[in-house]
Amino acid sequence: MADLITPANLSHLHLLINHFPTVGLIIAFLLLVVSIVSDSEAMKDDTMKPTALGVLFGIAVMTLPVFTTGLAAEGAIEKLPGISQPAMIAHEDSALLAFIVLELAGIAAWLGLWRWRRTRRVPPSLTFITFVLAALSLGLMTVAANIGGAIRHPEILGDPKTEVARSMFSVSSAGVAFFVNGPGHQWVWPALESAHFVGMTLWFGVLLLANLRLMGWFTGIPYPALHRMLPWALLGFGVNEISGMMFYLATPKGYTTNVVFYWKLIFLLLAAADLLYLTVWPAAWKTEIGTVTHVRERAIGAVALVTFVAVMYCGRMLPFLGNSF
Amino acid sequence: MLQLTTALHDTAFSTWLREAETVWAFPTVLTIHTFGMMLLVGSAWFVDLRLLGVARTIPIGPLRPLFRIMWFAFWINLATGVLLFIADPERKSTSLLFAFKMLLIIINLPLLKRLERAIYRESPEPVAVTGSTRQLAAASAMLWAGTIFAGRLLGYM
Repeated sequence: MADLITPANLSHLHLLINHFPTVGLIIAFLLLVVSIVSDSEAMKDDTMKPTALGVLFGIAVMTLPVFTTGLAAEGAIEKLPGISQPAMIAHEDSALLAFIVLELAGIAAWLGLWRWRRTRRVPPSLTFITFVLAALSLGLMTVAANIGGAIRHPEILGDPKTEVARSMFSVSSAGVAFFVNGPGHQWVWPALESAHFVGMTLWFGVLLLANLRLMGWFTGIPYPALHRMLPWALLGFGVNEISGMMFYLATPKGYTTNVVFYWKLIFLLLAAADLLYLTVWPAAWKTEIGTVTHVRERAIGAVALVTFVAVMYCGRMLPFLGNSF
Repeated sequence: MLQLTTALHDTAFSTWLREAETVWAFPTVLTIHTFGMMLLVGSAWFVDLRLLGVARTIPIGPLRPLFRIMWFAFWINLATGVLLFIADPERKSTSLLFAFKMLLIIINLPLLKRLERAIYRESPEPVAVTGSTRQLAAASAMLWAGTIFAGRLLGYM
């Protein structure tokens, strides 16, 4: 795969998958609105909300590679003629804010799904928070995408003053980089690395037990009991996404030019898919004390555990296998 | 002492571990050490969280095999830890941070033994968790967190 990591391919990939947080987010948002309306009647169970929340969670997960390939695309085209440098920086910073809010929406959506699995209802407060965060991220993503289009087509923006006004809705990625790597901040990177290892250990421990149960071990434990522990896995993922994004923003080129980083992203997406599976999958939920699980559940569990180790392997080996640092 | 670590540092094996231009030397040992860490501390934190009151519907009896997983992972990490020490004996043997990490582990291992005994003393299927067991779990969990921090920071000495 190493020879696929060319600047042209990475910009192409960014343009391809950026439809998840743009077109995909619009669909997820509309689905959420429809589900709120359709599930609001005096029905016993929520039937459409879990689908809407699942799609929103998936979009939030897919936006991670969209953001990271964005900085790769920046490295690929920044020296080309006809590229608007201010638009590129404004795009990156507004995309960072949109990304942060969308990740929060993804967390809220996941919590809604997690509660729904147990009670068959998404709590109204969580539905409300998810709706607000999804609406907010959709607006911010529209701003970011619009500025992104102007990198190649400055005529989109028209008045340059508007561009500045729009980029007010942003988080400075240069500011994050300075916090992590700036002079006098030598302690930040090592502290974040330690937090990154703690977060990994936390999510691995929780998901290890859940997957081992579905693989047919620990048969004395009913799966719904293990399900209660899943938010701690999400907490671990959250710690790692924050610390990981800070590493990435501090030294993007160390990652975007390294094939191992893309392998890690792929395994990470698979790990997120496993978390979704563990959260809502009916066959998993119906695993009681002594239930012998289906070969499908066993296979998924085994693949998931290999995937988790692969995420760690790619991360730990980044400095050794590629050219990161 | 210093002579001993210098002699160790200069052995062919130590030099190979440290300097060999292959991922099978230092990087692989370090990665296996990380794997042992997530297996050991991940399992330990799971038990600790349950004892501290998270997910109370999880029966405690069937969790006992986790202690075997923890000890299995501990031996992996003792072995890989010795290799990592051999790769860099002069700096590790004089590092306060390294001594601190070893101290945390030396305190925590008997705690782990005591924790298992405290949980399963009355019955193989305990239902209630006593206050002293909870304190043991909290102390052990925090010591593991400190061990991870100290270990990770060793990479930056």
